[in-house]
Parts: sequence; C-alpha cells; structure tokens
Amino acid sequence: MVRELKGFFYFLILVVAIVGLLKLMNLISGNLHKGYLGEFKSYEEVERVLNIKEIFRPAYLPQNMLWPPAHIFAQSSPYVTIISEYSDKDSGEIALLIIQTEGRAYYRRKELELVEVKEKTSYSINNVKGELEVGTCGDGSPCSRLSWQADRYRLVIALKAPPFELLRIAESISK
Amino acid sequence: MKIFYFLNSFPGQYLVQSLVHSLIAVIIVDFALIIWRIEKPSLRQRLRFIVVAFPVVSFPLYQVVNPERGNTYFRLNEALFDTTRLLTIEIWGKVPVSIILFIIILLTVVVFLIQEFVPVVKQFMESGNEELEQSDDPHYKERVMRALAALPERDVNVSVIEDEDHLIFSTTGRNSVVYITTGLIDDLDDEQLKAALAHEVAHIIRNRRPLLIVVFFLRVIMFYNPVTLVEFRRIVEEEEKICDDIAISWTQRPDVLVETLNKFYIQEESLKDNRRKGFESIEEYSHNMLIKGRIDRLVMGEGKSVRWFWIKFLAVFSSIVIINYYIV
Repeated sequence: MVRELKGFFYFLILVVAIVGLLKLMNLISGNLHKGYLGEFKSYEEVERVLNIKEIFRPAYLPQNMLWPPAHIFAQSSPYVTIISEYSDKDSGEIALLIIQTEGRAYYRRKELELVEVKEKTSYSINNVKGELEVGTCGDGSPCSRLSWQADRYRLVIALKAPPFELLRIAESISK
Repeated sequence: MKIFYFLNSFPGQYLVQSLVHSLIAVIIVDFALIIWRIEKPSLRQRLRFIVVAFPVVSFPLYQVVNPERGNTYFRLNEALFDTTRLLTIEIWGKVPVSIILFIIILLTVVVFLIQEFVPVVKQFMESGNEELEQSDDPHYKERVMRALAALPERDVNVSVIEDEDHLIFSTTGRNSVVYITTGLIDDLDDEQLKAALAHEVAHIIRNRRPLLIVVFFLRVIMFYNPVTLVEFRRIVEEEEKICDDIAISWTQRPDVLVETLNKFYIQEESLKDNRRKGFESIEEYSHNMLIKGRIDRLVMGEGKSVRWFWIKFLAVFSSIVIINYYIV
C-alpha cells in the first residue's frame, strides 16, 4: 500500500517537473526570439519595444466600445503584425478587432467570425479599394468585416454590428 | 516567412503538435513504467498504445473542444509551450530552428520508406509469384502434429517449408498459417518444437482481435513521427513477450522456451562476418537484442504483480491529455 502511494507521489512529481520544464523552455525561447508575438499595454509600448513606427489607429470608435483596447498583440518578427481587440462596454465581450499585418491576417476571433455572409461587395476607403462582407456571427447577431491594402500593410476590421459603424471606423484609421 | 505561414496552417499545426504530443506521451509512459515497475508485457503494451494512438487525434480533438485553443491569446497567456515561438527562432539570424525539425522528419520518412513501406509493397507484389517449396516428408508432418496435439488450440494450419534456415512465422487473417522450416525442425527436440509452435499459435489467437493491425495503421498515418517509429517497434517487442507468456502458460516449461529462443540467436562470429552488410547487419543486431531481452526476462522470472493498473493507466492518460492540451 505504502509502495503504491509512493509511486503515485513520484508520478505527481514527474508531471509537475514536465510542466515546469515546458514553461521554462517557453520562457527561454521567448527571450531568444526577439520581436516575437507578445501582449502590450499600449500602442506606445509597441512602438518603443518593437520599434514599429507605423501603427494604424482609429480616431473614431462607436460609443459602446471601450478605450483603450482590451488586448494589443504585436510582433516585429518574422513580419510586423499588430492585433487590437476592443471590448463592448455593456457585455464586456470582444466586439471590435483591428488587424494590421505585413503577412497574412490568419488571426481569428470566434465571436467575430462571419458564419454566414449575406453580402460581399467592394468599398472604397480613402480612395483605396477594399472588400466589405456583411452577415451574421455564430450567435446570430449582425457582423461585418472590411479588409484593404494600405501601403505594405493588410488592414482588417471586424465588428459585431451592421456595417455603418464599421465604415466610420475604417475611414478614421490613420498612421 | 513561408515557414511561419506553414506552422500556423492546419497541416503545419497538426504535424508539429502530433510530434510534440507523442514526445510528451512517451516521456510520461516511460517514467510511469519505471516508477510503478510495470513489467508485465500486456500492461506495458496498453500504456504504449497511448503514445501511438493519441497523437493521431489529439490536435483535431482539442480544436473541436476549444476552437480558440490555437489563437494568439491562448498562445500567450494559457499555453505551457508555444512551438511556433521556438521553431521560428533564427540561428545567427538566418536559419530557423524549424529546419532541424524538418531534417528529423525527413530522416524518419526515409527510414519508414526503406525499412517498412518498400519491403511491405515488395512482399505484396511478389506474394503471387514466389512459391514456397513445401516439404512432403511425413516425418516432419508427424512431429508437427505431435507437438500441436499438446496445445489447447490444435486447429491450426502448419506448413513445413524445405529450407535449411531457422525460420518460423505465422500469417494473419482468417486462414492463418504457421510456416516452419525443415532446418528448424531438425534442430529442435519435441519439447522445443512444441514451445516454438505454441508461441506462433499464440500470435494467431491474438491476431483474431486485430488490435495490432489498427495500431499499425495509426503508425502509418504517423509515418513522419520518429517517436511513433520507435514506439511501434516497442509494441511489437511487447507482443512477442506476451506470446512467450501464453506459450509458457500452455507448456509450463519456460526453460524449454529459453533453449528454443537460443536457437534464433545469431552468434557473434557470424555478426562479425556481416559487418559490411550495412542495414542487414543493424537488423541482425536488433534481432539479437530482442531475443536477448526475451531470454533475460524468462530467466529472471515473473516480475511483481501490478495493483490498481487501471487507476495508473487513467493517471497516465489524463496527464498526457491535459499537458498536451496546453502545448500549441
């Protein structure tokens, strides 16, 4: 009996050691990979730490959206990407997503993913052609998404609302 | 940049995560076997099945349970280990670490093709053309029938092949056959022949429940995974030991099985002669190691019985599932 319990105790130590080792390896690889994806408190911190000079920010936000963003994720390596998530004042859920990337905008947020696209059309944002998609998200609420190319960056905005507010946010975005 | 895209794609994540998940699984299983001193081959094999089977489904399963698992927030705040973070580090600012991983995968694929896939295809292609020369000598048939009569499972087809080499093997499927060479029969006494046949009959009985075939298919799916490559071989080794135990339970003579196994041991002198054979030589060494392992186990006798095995199995399985969930 005692031998068996000892065995379980040693096994527990093994599991804890593996978890600790994985965390340590994650920490070390994070320190070795300068510029890899991290979370930042503000755009200023992104500028300072990652040395990214061009950050697209919205000058307009709908009234129900909280400032500053709930999460800012950014990386400078292997390519520049800045992901900003804004939450809704009432529900606290992520309701607006802005992605600026030199690569592919593969980032996904389940709450803002269009499960049904009702309309897909071209739209001009500050004289640049973009693609506007209107439909519904997973919970059935109206959602809209706009993407366009601004210099070397791909910009994507996804909003949990009809496209009216989305277009106002897009037109207010500047470096 | 292309590697980064690939690592973030579904196939890329499947490839990397299945590999890391099996690595974690093999570490936990191997230590569990040591900690709890699990020596019974059938129990060891059950634990080893986790290493081969679980990584095949782990990534899609986790994504179904939580589609947000791979996203940035999860990677940064919840994951124990983010593989992309490590694999996209560039050595001297030029060579990504992922290159090392891809080299390992490439080598594994080459080993899989040379050692497993090509021989299986070759055997399949030649199976219709190559006729084994069967012996008509009634002396051999009579000895085989006498040995089989002492076993609980007598309704087995045995084919005696005219060949000097020491060979005995069985086929799987509905019409299973034990093939044995005249050279081997000549070299074994009646008790040893009974032990050898008992071992093969045990294989046939166990193959009626085609668990090992399922594991083989899972192993083929993971053809790029070096951990699966090694672990599948260990499962096959455990299978040999399980059949040894079944044979002993029928014959009650472990000493005779040891003598029989010794007949398959390739002598050192012969190995030295074969040094230049390359792959064949490696195969012979690994064959000898397997035979030696089986003999040593039988000589040492039965290990301590394992109490609460299923609780231990559950502890191992759940820790593998939980830890791997947090590796993205």
